[in-house]
Amino acid sequence: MHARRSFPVFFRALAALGALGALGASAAATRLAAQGASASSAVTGTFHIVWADARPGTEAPDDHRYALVDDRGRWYDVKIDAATLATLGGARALDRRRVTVDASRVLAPAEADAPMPVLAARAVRLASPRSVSALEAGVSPYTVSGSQAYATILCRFSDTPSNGFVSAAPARAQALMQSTSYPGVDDYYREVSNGQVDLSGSRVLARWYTLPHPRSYYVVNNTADLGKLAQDCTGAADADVDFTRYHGITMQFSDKLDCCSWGGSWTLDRDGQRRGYAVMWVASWGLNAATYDHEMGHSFGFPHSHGPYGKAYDSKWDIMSYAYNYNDPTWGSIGPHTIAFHKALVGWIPASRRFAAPAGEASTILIERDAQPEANAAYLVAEIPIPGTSQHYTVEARRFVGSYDSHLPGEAIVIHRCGTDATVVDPDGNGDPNDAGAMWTPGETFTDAAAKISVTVDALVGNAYRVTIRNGVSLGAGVPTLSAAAAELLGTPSLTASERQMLDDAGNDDGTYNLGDFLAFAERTGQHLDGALVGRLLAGPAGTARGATAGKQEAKP
Amino acid sequence: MRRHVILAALAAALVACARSVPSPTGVPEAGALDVVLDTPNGDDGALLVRVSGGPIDSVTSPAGYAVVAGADEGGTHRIIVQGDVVRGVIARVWVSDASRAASYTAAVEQAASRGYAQRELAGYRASILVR
Repeated sequence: MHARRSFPVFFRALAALGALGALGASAAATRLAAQGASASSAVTGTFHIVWADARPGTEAPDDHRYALVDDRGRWYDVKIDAATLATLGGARALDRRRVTVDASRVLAPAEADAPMPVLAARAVRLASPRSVSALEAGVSPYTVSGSQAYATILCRFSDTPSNGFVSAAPARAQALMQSTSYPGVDDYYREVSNGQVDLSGSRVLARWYTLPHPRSYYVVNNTADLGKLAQDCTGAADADVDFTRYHGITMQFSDKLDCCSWGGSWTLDRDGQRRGYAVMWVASWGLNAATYDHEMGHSFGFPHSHGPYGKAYDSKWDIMSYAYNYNDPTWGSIGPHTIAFHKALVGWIPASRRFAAPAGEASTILIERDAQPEANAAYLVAEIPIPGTSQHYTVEARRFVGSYDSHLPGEAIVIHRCGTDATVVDPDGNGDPNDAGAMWTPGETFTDAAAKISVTVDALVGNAYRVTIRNGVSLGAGVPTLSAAAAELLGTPSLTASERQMLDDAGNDDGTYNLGDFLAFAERTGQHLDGALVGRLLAGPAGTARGATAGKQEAKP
Repeated sequence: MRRHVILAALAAALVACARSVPSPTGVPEAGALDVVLDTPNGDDGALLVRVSGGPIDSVTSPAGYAVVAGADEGGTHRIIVQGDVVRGVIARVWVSDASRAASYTAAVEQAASRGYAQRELAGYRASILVR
């Protein structure tokens, strides 16, 4: 299979174009850093997002780090506020690109209380011919297809004693990274990418390479120096590896690192090339299928996803959130597929199977299951822009199928709100994004009244769900039922605040939901008061037509 | 003969109990009350009418309007009447005890024009007419 991955080529081009002018600034910053001085400076190099993954059952202090590897191969931790990043289109617009960081302060390791110098960034600008506009035109630096060859190196801290893990790890790493059968990483990504990616050409050096220093040299104040680890680990194996043959590098360490295992990218000088690699830094506890699959996802550029409750690893719909849906007796934890947002990000969902919901229209479409989809004309994801934001909703179908989605929380349409990352839409607010509140099944409707967006799950048709998506359409199926709208007026609160606002906006728009809005709703949707409705409502408050579940309602009869 | 009289009396008592009849004199007679509208406008599209005074079994509209009714937690009944509503009888309320008809009252709570505008209630009046 032909390999096509854009960012290594891109790195090489940028290095040739931009290295010369950046050397001076980089050197100045380094001098300042070495002195522990704090002064403004500009440092040019390649920007990397590296995601942190805490040991199961714990939380990482930070979700990710930003790093800069300058044009002389030195690396910095980059501190940058969200507002500054937002002006640039988010960190993903910078990731794996050559940039110049304007730093208000350059903190030496001792001053930063960290193993590496820190740039306190006040601005970041692209330092390459390729501009942000290229991203806006739909050019993704993350496109991942074809064979992704990874070199897997086992690196042993000089003070790690011999133990059972050290003995067993080489064979286990080899099985995970070179096996083409379940649940090897190759098998996982072949299935998840729907056959568009494999790990052909990968190699596991099934022996330990001893690092020149003890663990305490690389991990200071419980912060791992990812640059030192990458330099020394790849350096230890350099004589045995031609790094030019690989897109990615998996570094399996002999002990824990800091809080976490890590995944993302890094710039390295190896075998005569300075370029970016997809990189995984795996702690000893992470030698299992779930962690490898997850960290490789980060190395492809996937961020974390999560529920709407401020937790990093709570969504069982995505390997990039909760990776432990199933415990294989041999291989340990096995995670599910990743979500459609991530698959679309790297190009695994062809444009012909991504439905862009047109503004001002109602559309009824089929959404085929996310895992092992049938080769038909049904869409794999619907994407609904949210007006006034840079975000969108994704609508995807999840079914029990294949090796990895057979242990999902359930079978349903699942909706995410997506921006820099994806959040499960879970309106019941009960802290669990894996229960019925997040599963949209036939007869249920998700409504974002403020955005005038609704998604009604009409039916299950084979492996696909028929859904009706209304984008910017005020009224119709998918908004509250007529019975709920009536019950609200008859004395039984049955609408959410957003539903009342939606009906008023679409009705007489006088700031209050009232009889005129009800009349507009009934007439414009062609719905009628009928005897059955009367019967239900006369049963009293318990007989109202709408349940108590906030945000979900029955579809229009 | 005496035995038959006793059985008939017991049966009557059971029926009376089943209907929760407040009156000790026998089974109350069900009946209908008309809700009569007086409106200052000729283009009403919907009315929300409150009916108080006792329980309601069901609601119909002899004038052909669409109607729907419900009770809140306090037992107050409201009726939505939808259509090209004009003055006169707009709804018929069926009650289980017509003898209590005098205790029922009606009031217009909301009115909307056929163009969906919410209306001021000055000039609107709803009353109960015992049939």
